[in-house]
Amino acid sequence: MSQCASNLWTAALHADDFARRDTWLRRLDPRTHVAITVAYLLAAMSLPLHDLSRLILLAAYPVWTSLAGGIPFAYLARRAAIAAPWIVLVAVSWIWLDRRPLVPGHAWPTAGDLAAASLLARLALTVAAASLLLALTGLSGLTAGLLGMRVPPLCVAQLWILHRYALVLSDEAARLLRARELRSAGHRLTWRQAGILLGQLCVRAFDRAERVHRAMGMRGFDGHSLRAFETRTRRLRATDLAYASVMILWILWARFGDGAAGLGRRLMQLAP
Amino acid sequence: MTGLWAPAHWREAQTIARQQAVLATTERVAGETVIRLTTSGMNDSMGPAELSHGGFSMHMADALISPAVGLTMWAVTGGCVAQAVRRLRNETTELPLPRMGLLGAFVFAAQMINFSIPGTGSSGHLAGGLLLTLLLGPNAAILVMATVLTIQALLFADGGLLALGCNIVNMAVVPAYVAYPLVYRPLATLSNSSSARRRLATVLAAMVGLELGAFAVVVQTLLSGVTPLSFATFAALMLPIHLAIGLVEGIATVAVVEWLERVRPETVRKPAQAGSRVAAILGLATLFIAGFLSWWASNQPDGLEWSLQRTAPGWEESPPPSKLHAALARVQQRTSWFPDYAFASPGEQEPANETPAWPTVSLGTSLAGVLGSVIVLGATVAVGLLVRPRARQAPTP
Repeated sequence: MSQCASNLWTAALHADDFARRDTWLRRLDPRTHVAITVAYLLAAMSLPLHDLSRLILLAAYPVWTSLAGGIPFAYLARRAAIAAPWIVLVAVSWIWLDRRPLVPGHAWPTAGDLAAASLLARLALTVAAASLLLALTGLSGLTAGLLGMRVPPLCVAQLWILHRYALVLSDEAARLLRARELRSAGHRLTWRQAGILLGQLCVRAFDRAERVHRAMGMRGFDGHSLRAFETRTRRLRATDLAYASVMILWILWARFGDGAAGLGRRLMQLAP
Repeated sequence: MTGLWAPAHWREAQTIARQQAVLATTERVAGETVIRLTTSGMNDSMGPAELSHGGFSMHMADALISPAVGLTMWAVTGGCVAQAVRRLRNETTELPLPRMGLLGAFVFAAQMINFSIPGTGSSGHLAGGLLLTLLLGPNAAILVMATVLTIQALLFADGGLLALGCNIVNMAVVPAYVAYPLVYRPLATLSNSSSARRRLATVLAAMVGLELGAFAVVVQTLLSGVTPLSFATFAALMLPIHLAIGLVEGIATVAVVEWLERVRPETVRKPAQAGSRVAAILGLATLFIAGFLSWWASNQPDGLEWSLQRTAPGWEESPPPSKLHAALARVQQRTSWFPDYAFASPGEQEPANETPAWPTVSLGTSLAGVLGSVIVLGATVAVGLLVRPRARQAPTP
């Protein structure tokens, strides 16, 4: 049993599991979610590095979507942790190199601290938005949406075949490694042996490709037409357009409007 | 021990395997032998247990780039992928779709196989860009690598979505459209090419491809303005490591390709035609001149500026004569990333009275020169492709 490979894919396929649960958010067209995610990513990435208040405001979108879509925060946090190491290094370099104080007379906090916090917040929000997109649409919905957006069917077909066979070949690779481990008496894998293992795996990939090609041929694939990979994309409904418009308008307001400062001012005016 | 530098998706698998460590014990009734198989122990060798070489550094996250850089790279990716699809349909009568898909899955699975690098104590794994190009050709290789990177970004959060354009350019387009035709093909397709020369060509192409990819990461991050590091520091961090990584990648690719040639020679693709050595030499010469010899460019004013300084002193500071001049000057100020052929650094202006030292050794100047050359060359090729006459195709019966 290739524990490593199946653990890996269990973790990744959690994304598809979320997409199979039926909530109203998942019944929307995948293109809606793609458009909102792209607008959100552009808004978050276009903010100046020291603008933390608008980032906090923009965090409302992933919070709302994960609550409405039934996606646990722990899943989003784990995916953000994967991309974290390099970002943490850059954030630390900001703290180290930019020591201008924000408040005159106080050594801390510095502009570097603000930049680091802003960078980590951007990481969390961008990864959350991308993870939510996949969790809400699933790979099948996403590829249908991509076809609707005129992505070449060859690329979508590639995605499908890769998704299907990556687990199969990962299992084969794990079996090869386990067999070698059991026979190697603890010696580490040298580059020459790795070349042979990789070559073996490559030959198995070619053989399997040959079998898949014959199977596709018997099911009508003529080497040109990719009709089998094209799914009919349904028309966008009023609900899809309405939801996308509301979310994008909200994102634009959070990015360009007077945002948190305006809300704060109004609250202070109400206070006695 | 989970290495910091391991590919992100395998780190996640390691974490899960550790949390769910299963101890399987088998006892034979007849004998006294007890066999214990500890899956956690076996997972150490199956995943990236040791320090692996830089699976983390090349996949850029969304937080590290600005929308301008991200969208520009997406446009470049879109153009390259469209070109690859078009060329693939033109050059093959039958789409090698299962082979492309399965080799993409192979690249995925191949990243599990970590091998030790002699003398360093660390280990490495195959990235796969150059290997795919050697097995499938540059056009199919770009599509396959782009798919692999997309799956990694979507399913494993290894690289951002808006940064996917950058990642595809750095890790798919550079090996297939730059390293392969400019480095591998001219060397490997010489008439007296021996296996040693082809090995050298593979290793050099892998090193050049990874080095250029890392350089592109540095440029994209700096142009996005999210890091406080200077170009020199960032480049010093990224480039030497990726030179070593490229060497490892090249050696692994050579090992795989030679084994395949022995066992299944039909799987390794021979380059269709000899690459243009002239183009390769011109390209490398341009990079050498722009990147290195530019330090010896004179920093004295040229003939026109010298004349104007003597006949109309103070002409540079005079206000623009019309609104159109002022508007265009504002546009130029906003769009010039490399004013005076160096990086714009507001804190490091030279005092006006000092004459700058010669040669003006400056990495900013080198970068400006290299990027300018690449942009000019790219624009020239694009215009040339648009205006060249289309070859007539023979009518089909």
